[in-house]
Amino acid sequence: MKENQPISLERQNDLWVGRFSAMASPCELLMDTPDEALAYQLLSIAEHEAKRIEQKFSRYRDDNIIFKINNALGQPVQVDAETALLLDYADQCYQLSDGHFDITSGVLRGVWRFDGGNCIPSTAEVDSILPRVGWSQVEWKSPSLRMNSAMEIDFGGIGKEYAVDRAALLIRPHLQSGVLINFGGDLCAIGPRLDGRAWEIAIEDPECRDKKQLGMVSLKSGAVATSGDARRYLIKDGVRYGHILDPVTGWPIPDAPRSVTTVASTCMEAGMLSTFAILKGGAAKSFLEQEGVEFLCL
Amino acid sequence: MKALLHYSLLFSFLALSGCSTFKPGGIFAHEDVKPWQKAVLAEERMQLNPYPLENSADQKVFYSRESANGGQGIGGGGCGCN
Amino acid sequence: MQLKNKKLQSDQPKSSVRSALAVATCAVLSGSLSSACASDEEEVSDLSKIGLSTFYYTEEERVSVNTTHVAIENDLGDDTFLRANVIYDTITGASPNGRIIPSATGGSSIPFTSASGFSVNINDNGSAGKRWLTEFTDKRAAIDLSVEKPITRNLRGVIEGNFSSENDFTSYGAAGTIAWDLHQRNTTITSGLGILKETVSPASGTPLELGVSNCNETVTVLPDWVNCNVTTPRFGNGQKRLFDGMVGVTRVLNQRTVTQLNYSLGVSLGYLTDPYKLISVIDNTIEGEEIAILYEKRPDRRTKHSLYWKTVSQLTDKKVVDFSYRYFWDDWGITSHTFDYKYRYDFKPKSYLQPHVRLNLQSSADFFQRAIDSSVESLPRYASADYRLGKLTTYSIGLKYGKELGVNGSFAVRAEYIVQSYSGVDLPDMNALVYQGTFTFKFD
Repeated sequence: MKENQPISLERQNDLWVGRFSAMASPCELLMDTPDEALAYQLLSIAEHEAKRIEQKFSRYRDDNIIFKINNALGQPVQVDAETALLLDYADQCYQLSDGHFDITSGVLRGVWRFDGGNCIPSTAEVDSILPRVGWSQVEWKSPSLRMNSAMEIDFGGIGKEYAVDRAALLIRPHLQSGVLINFGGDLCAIGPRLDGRAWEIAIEDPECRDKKQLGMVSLKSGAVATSGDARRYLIKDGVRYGHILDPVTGWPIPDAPRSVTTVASTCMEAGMLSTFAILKGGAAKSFLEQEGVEFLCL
Repeated sequence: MKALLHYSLLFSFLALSGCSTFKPGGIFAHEDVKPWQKAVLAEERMQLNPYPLENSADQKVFYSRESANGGQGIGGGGCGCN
Repeated sequence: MQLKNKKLQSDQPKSSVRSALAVATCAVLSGSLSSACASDEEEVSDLSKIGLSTFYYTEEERVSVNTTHVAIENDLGDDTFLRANVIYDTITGASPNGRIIPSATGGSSIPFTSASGFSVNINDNGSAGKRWLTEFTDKRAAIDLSVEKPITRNLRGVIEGNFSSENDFTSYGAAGTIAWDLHQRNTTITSGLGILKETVSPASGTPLELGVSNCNETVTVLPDWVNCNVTTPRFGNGQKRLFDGMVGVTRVLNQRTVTQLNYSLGVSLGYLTDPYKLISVIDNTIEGEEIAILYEKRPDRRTKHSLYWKTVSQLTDKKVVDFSYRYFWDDWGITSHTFDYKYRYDFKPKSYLQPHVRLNLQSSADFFQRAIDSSVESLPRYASADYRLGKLTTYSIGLKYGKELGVNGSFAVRAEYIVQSYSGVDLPDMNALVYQGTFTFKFD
């Protein structure tokens, strides 16, 4: 687990910048307000919400609903309203992606270890795990969820973006403009800066760097999310295996772009669109173009 | 001689504005600026032509009273300035 | 021309997966009372701007100019901009015409209408008592239109067309510039080309260069290259073509400083003489008295070069300095150094004060001469007594006050005092005052 960075608030370049650690990411909140007390209040709100979501949906804990679901040993579990909404969302994403986005695919972690090394599993190993993957095998009818004891669910692909959107929701009643939320690269702008200027955001991406391009987004409101495997991959025999696995095959998506950054109205939408794009592999760019999504680094 | 006086006056004026050095923190200190560090540079007062209405008026005044002109860019029309 | 910072490209219709996803996301968030769902497409900055300026320039005992300028910038989305400038000037007053100023010695300030015999000629309309000045009034209208568009991710282009018209002058032209961004947009290389066609059309045509405008009838001895008996022929309009090119580099040095260096080259061809400017022929044996007046003559081509270096740097939150230096040289022998320095200080609420100083040092053109000495054997090849081609120094000092009005508007007022002094020439210093008020407004 990452060492916790204490919560901090400082004035930088005419903005209040709050920082903390949550969900294994550095989080920051940029606030264009002269009011320090308000800035501190908003920072607390964001930090509490991020920590709450982390506590509730992290698969590393043994005291939350995820643990309960993953250790239910085949028994049905009743979930609360918030979890139900997220499960509904995961279900819809599974449908929309033709089964390539699947919150039960986490168990593949058992055979794939993305550490930059060259240890790839054998076909037999992957085949042995594959039966434990598949949202279609889960009996989900709100608010009851039942799945086989060998299966696991994991909100890793949704959690951070959800936290960003939730933090935005809670901050909005206090300040309608001039806030930029950044949880480890997943961003949401609540209104432009006080003088009407947009937030100028640059996407630092190895993909961008390689192509000597730069993505600059000028955001007045809306969100930006990045999916990718910049740091998590394997290389064997000169072939790069990205960490986004296809739950249908158990293997990494072939020809997947290394990272995709998208812009949308909410962070969840942006995040899912970039995930869908990567899941399309070589067809990522045409998928995004067809859907009329604003994207970078492809 | 007079020209030398003018030059030295102007350069000292510039020096007095402070930090016109190459040291870190000085005006000409070189650093690799990342795109998310460009908030200051994006301000209107930091643009190369921040006051186009005044600049256009000045250009005309000096075009009609001096022989040296231009340098800032291409464009704008001519004038029969007398 | 202005080039803006680049943004993303988008603008295509939403499609099935995306809409479904938007709805799904909405459901999760609105289950939690979200208003984020209601909002539409994420907005990208796209305000249009309008700028208005009223400008008043007045020289002591010389020219006054009143200018109104409207500037519009329309953001068409996709990083495309349409810009227009409409400028209207009225100019009145008197300008030095190149004739020498009579000395006060011997109490003989030669009055214009005296019996000493300067005959009135259609061109000799000097102000009463000040024959070295020519009065005129003029109205000028100018318009330019430009379009800026991205060509590729890192390449932007601007195309412009311009037109201006005065009583006796018209010009029209076009220009194009491209800007290429490198190094994460920390370096920009700009390059531009422009052409301009100018036509000067004085009321009775352009006079023969170095031809006689007027003769002092009291003088009996005249050089043989001055023929007072023949009316100087006049020709049609004078046409001039100008070609300009520029290459520049803009570099972001650090988070607070940006600097630019430009090299420009300009070639002018055609009728470069000023048809209204005169040059006196003086006789040093009679105390430099003016014995004849000729029309000036300039070469029919001119090649200009300039190196322009500008830096803008933010010293602190409140202090921004903007300084530039231009070195200019041409094939007429003129060189010039121009220093400009502005210091902006911001204070609450959202206002600023900006003092400004400028210094321009100019050397004279090779063919500049205050007057032609009657004892020379023949006419010089080119000659001009136009003070603007002479050795001069211009000092300006000014102060500007600006303030923001709300989020989308701002206004500014400024005053400048300009002094121009001339070396080795009897012309008195020119003092001028500038007053300008501007107002800008952004809107959707």
